[in-house]
Amino acid sequence: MLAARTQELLTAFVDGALTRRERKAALRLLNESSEARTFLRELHENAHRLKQLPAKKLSPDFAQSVLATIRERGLQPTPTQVKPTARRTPRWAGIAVAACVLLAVGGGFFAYRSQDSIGPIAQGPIEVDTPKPMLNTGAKLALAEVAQKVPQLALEVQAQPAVHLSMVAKNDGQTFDRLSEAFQDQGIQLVIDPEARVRISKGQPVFVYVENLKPEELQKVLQSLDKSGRQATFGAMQIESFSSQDAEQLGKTLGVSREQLESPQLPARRPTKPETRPLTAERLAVAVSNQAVQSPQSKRFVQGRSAVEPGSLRVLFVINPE
Amino acid sequence: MTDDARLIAECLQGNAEAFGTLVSRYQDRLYNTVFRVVSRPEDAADVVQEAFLHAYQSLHAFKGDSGFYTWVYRIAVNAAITLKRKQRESLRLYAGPEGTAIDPADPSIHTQPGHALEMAEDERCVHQALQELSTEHRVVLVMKDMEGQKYEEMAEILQVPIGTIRSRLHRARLELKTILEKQEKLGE
Repeated sequence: MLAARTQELLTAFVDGALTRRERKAALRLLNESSEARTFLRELHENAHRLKQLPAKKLSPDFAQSVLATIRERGLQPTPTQVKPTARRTPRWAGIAVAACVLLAVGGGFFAYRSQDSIGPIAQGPIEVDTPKPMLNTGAKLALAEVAQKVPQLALEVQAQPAVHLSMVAKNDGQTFDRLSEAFQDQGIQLVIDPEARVRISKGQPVFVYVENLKPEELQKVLQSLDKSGRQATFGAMQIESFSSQDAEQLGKTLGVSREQLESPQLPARRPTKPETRPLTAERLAVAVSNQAVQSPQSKRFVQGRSAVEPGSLRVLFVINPE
Repeated sequence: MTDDARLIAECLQGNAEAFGTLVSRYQDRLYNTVFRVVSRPEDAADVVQEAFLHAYQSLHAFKGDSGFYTWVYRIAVNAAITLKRKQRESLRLYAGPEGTAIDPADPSIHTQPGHALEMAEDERCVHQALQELSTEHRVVLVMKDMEGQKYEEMAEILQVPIGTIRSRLHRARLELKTILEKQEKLGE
């Protein structure tokens, strides 16, 4: 039985995805081990069998049926012009479902509330329908516990549906992979600014901002991160209100005013019919640094923002590498 | 200006027929990929149609940074992944008491009576093995081995880091190898 590392080397060899050094190591291995040669031959054969699968085709009138559907549904290319819109329920439901956005930012400002310095922040009276509030207690909670109590958290923040979640992450290089997978499972794509990668590799905080996240989606994201936490990536979490300082600094990072952050300007879109299937490709995710210069990712994020969905949350994750 | 770009410009000027030309041009490539991911021909056709409709509505947003095919391919692949995920959740929901059907089989084409006979034996084996993989693993194998995509392109389309693509492909190849070996043993 070949070692796992050897198998990995050989599968990457099949894909032609080795560095020069790895390729040399693979060739040396193949020269020395008949087992490795057999393993590689089988991988190649399987890949070849996949390539040989016959091409499937649609009926020749498929294009006409697409055009007929366009006419039936009255579809048109939607202008990308941006219109200021009040904070209200979007009617373009099909697209709206897919329009949650997520932004991860790396930088120094939000570190003013690192794991060690987080304290309660007064946000005015909040109607709390539970004897043990989760918000602004300063308590460090396990991700599983937070996930379980997300519905309660949503109730606590209903007056201002935004939260600031601080969590610890081991600096093991897996942080973005775990986050990407957790969000992707909810149909949200995480686009990462290179600066954010650099910062987390240096042990500096990284920030992930999500809009229009449904409580149940937050629950699943946390559950997913909790699973990965058992593999030593994510630790305990503190929950706080999304403060005015958060809003101000995040607005600067994105190049929008605080007001715009609270109530995004919407691209004009035509309503879609209920039968139109929502497509996950519309769910944007981007990671940027908090430098004054706007990255392509932050611009893309801002351009793709959508109206606030009732019952959804805005969440700022603060990831503090150990 | 490429021919695709010219057709897109015509669409934006109100000529929907130009979009029909784009659909005709890419429908089969797209369908072939999506079919191997979702398995059922009717689902694959639905996904491809919705991807084209979505692309049509979003033509203004198409910046031309990538080709039209890459753009609509990304929409379709992600829609196919979503569909498979929903099917899996739906099957679990209706699978009866907890624990009785932890990982039910997909309602795939290979389970339909008569269809297996229509497929060549090796195609049937490989297709079936492919369907036994998780959606994530199946997608990367289809993209890599059938479409010849590079890691970078796959990472961009699936919006995951390149390292994730590499590790998924690694696990997918091992899993496929194991399934095909089991099939061969059963067939002996």
